[in-house]
Amino acid sequence: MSSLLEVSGIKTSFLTNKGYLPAIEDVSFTLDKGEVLGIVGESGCGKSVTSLSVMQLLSANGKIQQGSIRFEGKDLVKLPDAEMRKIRGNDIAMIFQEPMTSLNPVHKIGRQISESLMLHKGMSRAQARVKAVDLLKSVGIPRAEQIVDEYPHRLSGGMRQRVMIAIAMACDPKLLIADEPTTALDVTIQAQILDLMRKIRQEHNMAILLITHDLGVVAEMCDRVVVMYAGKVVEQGTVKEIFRNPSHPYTVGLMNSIPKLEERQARLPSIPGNVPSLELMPKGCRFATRCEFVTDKCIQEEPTLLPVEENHDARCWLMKKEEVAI
Amino acid sequence: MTDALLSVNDLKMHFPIRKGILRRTVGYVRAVDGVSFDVKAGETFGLVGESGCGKTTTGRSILRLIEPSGGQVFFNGKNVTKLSGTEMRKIRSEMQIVFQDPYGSLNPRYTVQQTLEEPMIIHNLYADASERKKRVMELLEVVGLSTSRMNRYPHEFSGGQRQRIGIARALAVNPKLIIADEPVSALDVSVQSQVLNLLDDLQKEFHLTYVFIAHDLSVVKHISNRVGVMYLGKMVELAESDRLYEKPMHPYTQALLSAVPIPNPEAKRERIILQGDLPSPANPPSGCYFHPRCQSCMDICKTTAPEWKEIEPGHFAACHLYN
Repeated sequence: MSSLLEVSGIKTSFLTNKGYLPAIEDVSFTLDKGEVLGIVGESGCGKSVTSLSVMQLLSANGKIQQGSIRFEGKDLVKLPDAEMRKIRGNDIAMIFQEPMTSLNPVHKIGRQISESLMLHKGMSRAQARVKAVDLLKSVGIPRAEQIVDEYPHRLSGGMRQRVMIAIAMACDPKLLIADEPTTALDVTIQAQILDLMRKIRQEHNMAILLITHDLGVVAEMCDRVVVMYAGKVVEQGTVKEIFRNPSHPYTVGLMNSIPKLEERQARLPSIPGNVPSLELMPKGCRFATRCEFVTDKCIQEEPTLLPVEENHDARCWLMKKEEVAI
Repeated sequence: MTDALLSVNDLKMHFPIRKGILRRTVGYVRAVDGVSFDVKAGETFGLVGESGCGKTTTGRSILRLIEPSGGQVFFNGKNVTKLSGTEMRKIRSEMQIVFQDPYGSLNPRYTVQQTLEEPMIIHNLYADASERKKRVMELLEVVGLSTSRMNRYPHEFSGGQRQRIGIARALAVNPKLIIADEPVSALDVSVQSQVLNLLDDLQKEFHLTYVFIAHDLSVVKHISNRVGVMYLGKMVELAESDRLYEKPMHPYTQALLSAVPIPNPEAKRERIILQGDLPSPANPPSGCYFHPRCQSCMDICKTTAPEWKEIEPGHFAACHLYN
């Protein structure tokens, strides 16, 4: 028990008029202190549901039906709401994709940062305000003394995301969950924010769970990566390993379909078809309908995570064959 | 230039800022401020820049979807900005646009067939309904959608499929030029590459000319022959796409290229991180618009706007460094 966060076998379902439909199934990963883990996948693959499950922020019709989420040994799934509130915003903080909508437009920035300081650290209003100015300075906001008394609409997208990071950092969390933190930003602003996150991580030795669809961001920020497809983990390993030797056909397809800046390709390789919808999930491998290496076994039976190398697994029957061949 | 299909000359789009009870004009947002470029027949011209740089406004004012406040647009030798409403409608059948948002740009109450027939009816292209239907089926096949689904509504399709419908609608009137405004930015990468390949195939098949507007540099590089980089309503650099990426000249282009995360954890490179945010186009900085964020800013940059010059054959830039 050395991991900070240990997610094992969680299944989160949402109640629809067709009954409970699982959005993610059998998702497991661990995150050590000070480590950056990336969860990557396309829209609808369940990466955001995974992060919301960890944070226990699922909407009313969502429910974790199986599995456990252990944070410092405590199972968050079983924790009563009052206990969870003590952890949320204090030990685990989160920043969201849309900096425009995740700040409260009718409260001043200073007040939004102070809130968690007063709640979790028992600071007075005046103390919290001083700390808020410090936090704004530490995330690189100019004129921090004036900005504390401004409303969010006065700031640009990049500045708002900095404020979000300041709020998240307020209680010095052990784990930061960043759900697509730079997707809504321009590339030059994205570079600034990623740079800031790297700096903060080093200073505070904080673990980051980075949710993104951008493999470029993963390559730059993460130590390890989990690739998700249609609600399941299809491949996981260290970043170097996965980029050097992508093993699941989906990961390979995903990497190939990004146009490269360095070289010129006549034609982009692409993955045919679309992600299957929740109610029509194939019985066997969920990628079978789009996979070029599909066999009868893939359609009949769902593969488990099979080892590719040490610390590198892929959910694909091809891995097994290789083992036999060797 | 004679071989240019589309020639944009000093295009300006200034939106007035009105204030007070009398709605008096107190200033202008210079969304597009003197942009010029030529697009040759059969080529793909890429337009990149960050949000608010005026790339979308440029695309729309070329088609006069918004009326430009200055400059000329020549299409096939005709000055588009001088045409009357009826003449403009006629020429629109040769210039079409594909929009960014495949969810918002299709009428939710029209079936695919109705959506695709509408431009044919407006331009009076086919004599009767059966011919139109034939053409609709042909178009669906061209963009890779099943003809059995032509009586469905947009909500029954995925994002990538909707974008294919948007492309089919643009093709319905046999255009020569298609302005593609961020056609793939709302799509996932695996679907994005399908749509990019489709655009590529269609260009070869129908000899189309594209103006491809996007913020994603790697996508623009992939599809374009030549690329123009915009910053705050002005064109700062224009070159052949390979050249621009190998040897960017303008400091803004250099910073923009270095900011793109490369999907390779072992790649090492120097990164230029720009300080600050994009200034407001209502109140742009003096001299060169880029000078407050520029790493190689000189005194002259603060006072004088740089000239748009051909620095090497086919490679244009507006920067005092090359004077």
